[in-house]
Amino acid sequence: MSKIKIILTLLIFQLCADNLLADVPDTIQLTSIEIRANAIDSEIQNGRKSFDTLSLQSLASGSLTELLRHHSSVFIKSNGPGGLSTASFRGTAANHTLVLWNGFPVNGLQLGQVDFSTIPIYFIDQINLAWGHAANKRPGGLGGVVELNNKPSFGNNIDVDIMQTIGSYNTFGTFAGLSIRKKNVHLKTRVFRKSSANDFEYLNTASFPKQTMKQKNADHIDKGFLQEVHINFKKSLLSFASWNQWNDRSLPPIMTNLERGGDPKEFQNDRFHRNFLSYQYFWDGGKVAFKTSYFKEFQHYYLRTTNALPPYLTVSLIDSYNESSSLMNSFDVEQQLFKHTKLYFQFLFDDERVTSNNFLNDENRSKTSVSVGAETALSKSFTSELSLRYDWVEKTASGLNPSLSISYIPETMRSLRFSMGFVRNLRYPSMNDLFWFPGGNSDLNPEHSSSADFSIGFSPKIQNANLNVRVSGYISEVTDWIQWRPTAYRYWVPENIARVVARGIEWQQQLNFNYSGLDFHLSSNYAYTITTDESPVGKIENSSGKQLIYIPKHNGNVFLNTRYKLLNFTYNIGYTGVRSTSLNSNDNYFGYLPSYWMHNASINYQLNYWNISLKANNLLDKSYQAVMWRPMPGRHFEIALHYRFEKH
Amino acid sequence: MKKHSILIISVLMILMVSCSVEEVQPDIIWPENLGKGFYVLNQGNYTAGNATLSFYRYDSAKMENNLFFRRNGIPLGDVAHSLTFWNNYAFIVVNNSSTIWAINSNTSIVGGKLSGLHSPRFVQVISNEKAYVSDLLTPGITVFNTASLQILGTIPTGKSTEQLLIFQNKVFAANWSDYNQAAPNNTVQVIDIVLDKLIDSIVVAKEPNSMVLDKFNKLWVLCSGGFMNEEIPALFRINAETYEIEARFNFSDIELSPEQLSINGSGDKLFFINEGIYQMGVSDTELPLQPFIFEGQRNFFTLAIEPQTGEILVTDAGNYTQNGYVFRFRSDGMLIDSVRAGIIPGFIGFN
Repeated sequence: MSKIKIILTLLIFQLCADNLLADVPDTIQLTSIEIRANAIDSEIQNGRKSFDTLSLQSLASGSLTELLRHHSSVFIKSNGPGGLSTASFRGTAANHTLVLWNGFPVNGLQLGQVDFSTIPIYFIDQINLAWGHAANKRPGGLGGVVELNNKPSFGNNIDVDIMQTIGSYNTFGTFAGLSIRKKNVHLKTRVFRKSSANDFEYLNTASFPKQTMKQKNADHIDKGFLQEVHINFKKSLLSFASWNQWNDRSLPPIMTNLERGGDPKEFQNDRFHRNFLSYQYFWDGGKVAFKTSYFKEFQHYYLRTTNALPPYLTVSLIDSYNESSSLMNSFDVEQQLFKHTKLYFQFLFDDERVTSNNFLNDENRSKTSVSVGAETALSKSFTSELSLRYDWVEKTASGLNPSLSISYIPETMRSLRFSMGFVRNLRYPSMNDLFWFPGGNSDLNPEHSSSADFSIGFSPKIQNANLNVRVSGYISEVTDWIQWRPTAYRYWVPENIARVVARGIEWQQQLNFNYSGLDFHLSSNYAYTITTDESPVGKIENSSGKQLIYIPKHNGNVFLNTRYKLLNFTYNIGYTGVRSTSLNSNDNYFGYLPSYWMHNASINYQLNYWNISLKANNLLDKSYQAVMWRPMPGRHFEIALHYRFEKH
Repeated sequence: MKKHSILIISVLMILMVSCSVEEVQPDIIWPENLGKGFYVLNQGNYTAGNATLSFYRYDSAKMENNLFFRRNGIPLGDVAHSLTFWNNYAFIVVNNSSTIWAINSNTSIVGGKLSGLHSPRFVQVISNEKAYVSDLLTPGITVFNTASLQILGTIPTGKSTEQLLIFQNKVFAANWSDYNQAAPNNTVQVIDIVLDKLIDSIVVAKEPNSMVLDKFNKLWVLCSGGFMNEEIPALFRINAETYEIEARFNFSDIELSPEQLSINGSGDKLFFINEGIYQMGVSDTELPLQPFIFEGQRNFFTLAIEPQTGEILVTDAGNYTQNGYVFRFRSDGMLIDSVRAGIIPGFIGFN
């Protein structure tokens, strides 16, 4: 009860504060929909980072995996090119990273996580990261949120975009886009096809004797189609987008498991169809938005082993089909109140359904959330945001999840910004946690997190240069963390058992300057993360205080771009620290993976409508593993030819 | 800030992050025989490739962990399942790597490797020229040359096989798993080792998981009742010559999953794990009601009885993600000590 009083007091304070102010700038209205950005336009704000156009363009043929690895301190765990790739923010697990496409989660209903290797950057116009209080718009993002947005731009032109890539290991990519802009209509179509034999050579340190081998059964083909329609009715905007993708990938065995007899085959085919419709109406000082989406996903997992000799009769077969669908709806209202305060309201209703031959029955659930919030400028120096979200799953209340952030800019030194935030959030168990047979536990509670962070931003005015630095520290606690545990039966059961405390320091920096006629852009990201299970069970099992597996304490990267006339050069260095692969990293040779540096470079030349680029990845030909016994490619190359034509 | 300093800072940052970090190399030199003791196969986690081999030395009362890697510089593989001794060698079956390593049992240095299997589980040596290996997925037993590690053929069984036990001129093969197969998993099959042929089948209860022979040449078979506890678990006493079931001991609760039937060196006392370690005489007419050794907070996983001293060895798999323990008990049940092994310590074999 006392918590509610405190929250209500804060909310009232937010509203009253507005009347105390004078001479503060107007709050910005969110009516702008033009996103055609400059080359260097990234933003680092409190709890939020937007990737600049340069980053997106330089990795246009890649996936979200490469973008996050090269340009953020988010830790990426990758099984190899074309393989499963997950992301974790601030010491949390992969399923604590919420990925939103135009506001709706694309996290799989069954596992709750996202394979970042299947998200083509080519299909996305704007990518943001949000954490702390900024990640609290929906349940799920206990670590953080990756926002993927498609944005309209109106005008009077036709834009044709074609890109062909050829890379090592028979890797080919074809990308094409057509954009037709009228004064009030924007039609945009994008397609792509990527394939790779992915048969790179590597040193197998698990074989007897150690030998250079070619990666087998790792080929993949990805195809996608994105259609957008945006209609501008002066005061309102109607948008529709349909993202369809077909990902077929073979699943290679780990380095210790290459000697199975016969002709084994293992693959996974994923198809998804994500459709989104929104209507937004703007008025002076406010807007209302209704959005609805229907996502459908299919997954087919296949594992066949055979006898040793031709014709290779089937010995064992797993042929698993999973199908899920979700109907998600949101209703948002924003209203400017007085001069310096914006109020907002949001209502979310999701209906989720899963059919799987790993469940006893078809399963479904509904989730509802209601949020209210206010952003206000308390004075020339202070701004704050408070939001209160209440969640239900089915008809069961999951509780109140508030967030609060305060920023302070000293009047005497406007280049400094101090920010702090507090947030409480939750994540519902995945459908596999609840209904997998055998073992699924329908009595699971949601995981709850509480976190606090503090940051200092520094953006000094420098002649012919632009520097932006942000240093932040955080601490978060996730209670009721779901862990699958062994039982007296032979199958495992998920339980709300762990209490994970994560704390760390992050550094983000961007610097743009000109030197001797050359434009430079230098950015760096670094995260120091300590994340441990502090539950009573962890203490009994002697795992308390030990870094969780596959989360490095040190992770960072540096990106340098320089441009001279039509020539553009980029160099990227990434560092991934030591990762525990078990909780016994101190006394087990397989208990950790060593740290590694990764160097990548690219050069491109722009001539009229044409752009040609050459990329060299893993430039120093480093032999390394991101996941134990999963080989990674050595030095490899990609050439891209990009044609972009615009007719007015 | 001057332009030059910006450039210098930029270059310094690049150089700073380009520094290399020393990687720890394994200690692979350890030149001595292992002496008297017992091996522990640590299964490791499925698809993680972190199985390891440990050896407990009685002279130093110390467990040598990660022995296979330290001796050979390569990992053992993915899910190490069982160990079988033959002359100066030991066959280590690595289930999900589809591999059998032949190591020198005194030094644990690799002497050979058998590949091309599917999901091997147990080896039974028949002679210097012939050995059998059971398989979780293949409906047949693979025959290989014990000395050369060459595959000789397959004995069709129609269903997967688990533990193998030789008696006179036959091998008993437990049909433990019904994973991915239609054939029922409630039998013990009899293989003629001269003909390499399935000759008979004894129906017991679901999931015969372990077998021993007692001093009266009775075959004891422990059945856990099925993966989803479909049947009452039961212990069977079978005449190993006539295949007649002489006694069936039903457990009290269908929810129980007794496993790891073991026997002492003199062949007169049975032991098994059932949330605790139970002891039973081979002439007893009822199942024991109380555990001989209570499990407590431990997670008993595998069991073995030292054949000469009667020492009871049991592994504790803990939470299956951390290194487990091996507990040593005297034959009267008194705890001697506990030593740390690897992740999911499983099969115990005496050198």
